[in-house]
Parts: sequence; C-alpha cells; structure tokens
Amino acid sequence: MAYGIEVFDSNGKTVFNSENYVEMIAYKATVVDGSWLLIPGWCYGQDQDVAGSSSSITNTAVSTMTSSGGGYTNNFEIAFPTSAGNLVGRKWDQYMVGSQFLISIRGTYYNSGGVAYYIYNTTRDVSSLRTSTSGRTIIPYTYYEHNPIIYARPQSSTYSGDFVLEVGQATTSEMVSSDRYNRKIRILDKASGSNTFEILVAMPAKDWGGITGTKAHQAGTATYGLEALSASGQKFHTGSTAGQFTTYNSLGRPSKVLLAKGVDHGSNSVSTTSLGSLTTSSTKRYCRMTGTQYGHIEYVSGVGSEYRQHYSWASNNSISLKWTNIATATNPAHQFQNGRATIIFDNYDGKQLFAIADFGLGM
Amino acid sequence: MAYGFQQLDSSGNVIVDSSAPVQTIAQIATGLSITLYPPNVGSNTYDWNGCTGVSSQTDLENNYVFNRTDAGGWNLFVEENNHTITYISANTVRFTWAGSCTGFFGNTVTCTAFHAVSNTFDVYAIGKTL
Repeated sequence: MAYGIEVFDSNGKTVFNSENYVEMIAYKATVVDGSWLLIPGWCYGQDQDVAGSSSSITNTAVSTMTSSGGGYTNNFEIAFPTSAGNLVGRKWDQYMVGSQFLISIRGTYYNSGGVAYYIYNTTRDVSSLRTSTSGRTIIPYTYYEHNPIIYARPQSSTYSGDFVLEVGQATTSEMVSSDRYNRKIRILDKASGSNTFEILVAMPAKDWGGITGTKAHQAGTATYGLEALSASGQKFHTGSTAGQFTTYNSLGRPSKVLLAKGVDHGSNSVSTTSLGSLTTSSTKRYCRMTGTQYGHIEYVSGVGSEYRQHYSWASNNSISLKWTNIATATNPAHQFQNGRATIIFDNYDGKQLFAIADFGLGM
Repeated sequence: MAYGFQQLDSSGNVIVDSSAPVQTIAQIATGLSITLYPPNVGSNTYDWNGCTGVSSQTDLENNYVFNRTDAGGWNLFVEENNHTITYISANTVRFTWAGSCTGFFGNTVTCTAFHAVSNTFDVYAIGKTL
C-alpha cells in the first residue's frame, strides 16, 4: 500500500489497513426463536440519505376515490395523480410525504372525474394527509443501500440444536416511522422450546463508518482511539459529499474469523459439513447466518421439502453445518398440487460463506 | 503483550491483540457483476485483476470467498449456474462460463446468447496479507 496505516498479526497477516474494509458489528439485540426482530434502517445505509429539492403535488381525498370502486380505505395509503410520475421505484431516489416514505404502489385508480391516480403504500399512518385534497410537500431522497451481515448464537450455554435465519419485510402494524427499509429477521430453531438468540449485525467498515452518531459504537463511545481511513474523494452516491471512508475504527468490534468455508449444496437429503475444529474457549462464538436464508425445494408427487444449511450447535466449542429440512412441527412441509412431476425451486446460488467468529471479550 | 497493536473496549476487555493470530474479514470488492457467454457465442472467460493478495489456486480456495449477492430469486426447474473461478497470476483470477445449453424442459439445445449467465459477487479475503 502507498499510504496510511497497516497492522499485521503475529503471522504477518493483515488485521486492518487503510485500503480494505474490515467487517465490524454495528448493532446487537436478542430475539426468541420464531419471533421477528426489526433491524434499524441505519444498518442498511439510511444515514446516507440526502434530501433534494421539495415540490408540491396535490393528492386526492379519500371520499373522491371511493366512487371509483378502487377501495381507498387504508390509513397507510395516499393517492397522487399519475401525471406526477412514479414516486417510488426509482433506483436511487425515494420520496417522502409528511414524515413518511412512499414505499410502493398498490395500483392505478380513477376518481369520479376520470383522472388516474396511483395509490401509494406509506411507511405509516397518513390519515391527516389523505382525507382532504391539498398540495403536499414531496421530498426526494438520494440514498445508498447495502445489505448487512447477520450473526447469531444461542444465549443459553446449554443449548444444543440446529437453526437458520429467515428475513422478511415488516407488516404495516410493525413498521417504524421514517424507516425506509423496515426489514426484519428471525431465527428458526429446530430444537424444541423458545430459545433466545443473540443477534449481531455486521458490515464492512466503509458502511459502518457511514453511520452517524455513536449508535454503532460497540466498544464504547469515547472520543479517543484509532481510526483508519481510505484515500479521499470517496462518495456513497452521487448526492454525497466526497470524503474518506472508514477502513477500521477502535470504537467498533471486528469480526475475527475462527473457521470459514464457502459451501454450495446438494440434493435434498441430510448431510453435514465440517467447518473445522475450534479450540476450547469461553469467548463467545457467533455463527455467520446470512447464507442460511437460502433454500432448495424439491416437490416429488406434490409434496415438497425445503432444505437449508443449518448451523448445528453442540456447544461454544463445537459447531458444524447441517443440510437438512426446515420443516418443524409448526412449519410443515410444502404442499404443491397433485402430480407426479419432480419440480425444483432453488434460490441458493453459488457458494455462500459460512463462518464462526468472535468479537473479543465483553460481549 | 510484547509488541504490536492492542484494542480494548471501554470496560478494558481485549477486542484485538495483534501479538496472536487475528483473522479479520476484509471486503476487497462489492457488487462485482460478470456476464459470460457459452463458447462460440461470446466471451466465455473474464480475467479480474482485483483479487488483492491472491498467490495460488490453494490460496484462492482457502482464503477468499466469492459470495453471490444476486442469490435469493427463486429459480424454477433448475439451479442457477455459477461461474468457475481459477487462479491465473498474482492478484488475478479467471471467471469461466459454466452453464449448460438447455431448453425449458432441460433438453439439450444449440447454444445462443440466451444461455449467457450473469453472476454478482461481494469478494472477501480472510486472514490474508493484503
């Protein structure tokens, strides 16, 4: 490297430097098996939003749309004329009315005068805006989105079992105001009972450094320490102010990999994959879960089975991978339709990274 | 510790100690998108020189992960094809089309541009000298 700082470990391997983005955790929480956990939008890059010039677009009121037969009854909806253009779905822009984002279009409807409107789904209740016709302030945001990495471990030291990650989108009743993403996750645990899991959300230091304030500081919130930065002139998106990206920061906790393997999958029969051996330690180990969300479904004579890579946890010192059915007593096998053909659905593309990591003491 | 870098949290817990082996995950590329064609239809290989620090096929297989980020879309009947990745020289690896020329029901057909395959990757190096 031509500039900056680099730190090596005792084997001469790079711990961090000023060019590459070390993965660090930004958020932690706990969740009970099967329950959903909302992940804050700032874990997906929402702090990089840049507001553009506002404009005024006149919405139509609920009463004028009811005669259309379109059904405009949800307080999470507001209608703007199609002549104003599509206010969602542009690659780098998203629009806000009041303090709520317009997140999707439910459909195109006409009022009694024959004017076409898009009905937009919003992030939260907009009943104060949707019941009368008036010019509404619309603000476009240029944004940067990234997908963080999810780690998990059972909270109980005596837990033994197999578990996977599932990701989802918050329902209207779960949505958080002004959160564009409203993403949620849960752990599906094949062990019986309602086990609690510790969840960590990690990302490359570039994205970690883009989080404003101290909310991502998992090693303390002091104003001292060490920060490694990239060259200048970096931008998250076209609307960003150019600057340096973070490559490492001692206010964060890096993922320190103990075992790692890129793993593909086979057909639907149970198999195990060793990730290697762990030394005995009381330092908490965590499983990199992102690859476990992908699956492979085979329907044979109408009855399907969905397999995913599970982390098979025996103890903090013994963790492997198991390719097995996600079906449990509360999550039965898929049913297709009566037929004899073998049909495959698959969204597990390429090798996914499975790893065991720790984040130092004090977790 | 006798030398190196040590990082503590605000409670004095050790997070990183460079006097022992520390394998961090460094992202060396994000959103690397590569489209390849069957042989005799278009380019079926692509040499990428951004694989920082790679020094052999064994090194590539043991210490680098090419994580498909375009996974997640459900494919019907077949699994998505993945490029093969091989070591060429220092910092350079080759992606090669590894698809198959099949019709909708899995029958073999003549290769066309329809059989091009696009893969998108985030690339990580684990425990490497970068």
